[in-house]
Amino acid sequence: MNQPTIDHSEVRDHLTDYVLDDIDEGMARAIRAHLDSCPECRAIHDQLADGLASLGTLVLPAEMPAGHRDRFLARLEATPTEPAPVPIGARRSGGWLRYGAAAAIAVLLAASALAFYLSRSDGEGGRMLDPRAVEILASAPAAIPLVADAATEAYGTLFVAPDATEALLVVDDLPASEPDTVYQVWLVRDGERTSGGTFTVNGGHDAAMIVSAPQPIAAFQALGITIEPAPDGSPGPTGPRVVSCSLEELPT
Amino acid sequence: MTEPSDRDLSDRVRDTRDQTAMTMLYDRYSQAVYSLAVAMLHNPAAAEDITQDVFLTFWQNPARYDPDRGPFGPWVLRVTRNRVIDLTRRRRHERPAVEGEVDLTLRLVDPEPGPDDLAWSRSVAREVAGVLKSLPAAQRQAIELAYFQGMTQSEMARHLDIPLGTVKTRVRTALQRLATLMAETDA
Repeated sequence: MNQPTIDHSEVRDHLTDYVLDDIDEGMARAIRAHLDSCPECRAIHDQLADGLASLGTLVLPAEMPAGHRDRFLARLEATPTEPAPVPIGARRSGGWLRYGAAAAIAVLLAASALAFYLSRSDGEGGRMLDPRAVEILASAPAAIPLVADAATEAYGTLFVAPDATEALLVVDDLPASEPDTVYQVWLVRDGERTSGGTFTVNGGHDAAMIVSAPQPIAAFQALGITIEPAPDGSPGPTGPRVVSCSLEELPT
Repeated sequence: MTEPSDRDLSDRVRDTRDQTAMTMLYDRYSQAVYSLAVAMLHNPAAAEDITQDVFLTFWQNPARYDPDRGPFGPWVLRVTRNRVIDLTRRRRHERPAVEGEVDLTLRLVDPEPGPDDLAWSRSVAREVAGVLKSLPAAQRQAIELAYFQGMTQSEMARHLDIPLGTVKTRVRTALQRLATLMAETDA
């Protein structure tokens, strides 16, 4: 799947259509990819989007239904969240903040889908935890939140320990993979992209995988995930970046 | 005591999963979100669902809001409109009917000061209303149909029986004026 590239003027010609969500998906993907790498066009986009959003203030204030706040608070209590991220900045001043391995495992395994991904068949109809995943979590890793890009609903966490060449990637609310595509993880250093592996997402929209790198993960500056052709991905990213995170503040 | 800023609250939600901060953001913006949703859907139950979903989605994944890219208010209204448009485009029969000419100025909020939780909304609305009043009626109508009715520009061209290029010019001009206004307001 080749991602068409477009230049600044073409992006700006289509930005109005884009913020109105009145554009075909192929062009939308190309614009998203451009905005990911172009702060100038992204600033124009944000300005147009905020201008459009300002119209939302013009509606007459409506009286909310009785009990709405209690219903919201009940749902808030019942809604699970990802664990709070380890504050990356705090690692510099306070040393390497450790994410308690036992707590991490307990929280993570509470999600049945994740437990499934972290497990494998025991050959007797049951499942056993993947020892590599458990080892990564037990190494007291940092938890770095992922930032949604083209997959605007997606969220997740990268668990990575100092000096490790493997990290555990957990991501939710990604669109299910098309039959001819996979998600491919990229580790970025000085503009060079190194593949960290591929994975697919089923109808449950969540996935976990172990990212492997030829050198410590902390030696890279960023991680990104793109959509690439199945089954093996691409030598370099060609599809839209769906989620990402910075690795800049990991201690090396 | 000074009220915490939206940025403080969203940071607390993201960094510490602070339910009190989340509730304060809900108290601040839920009526603006609900009012927009109900104005677009004309369905109070669906509008409440959308309102709760918008805030709970943020609660589940607060990193999707980046305070460096703009204030919380416009962002949450943008998310709300996108949700409503997704819903109405999935269920075309629920799209509000377009009946004749629509005059956006009829929607303008009461310019009198209101409760604190609507202060942001009212302040922006006054500015936006000023810009809209300066636009030709055709541009106001175009932006109204695009924003509140969720019409595509092609649908607008058919509805108004005018060329698509004309619709695009009207929408783009109106949107650029609003964007400039918002940039000046934030400055």
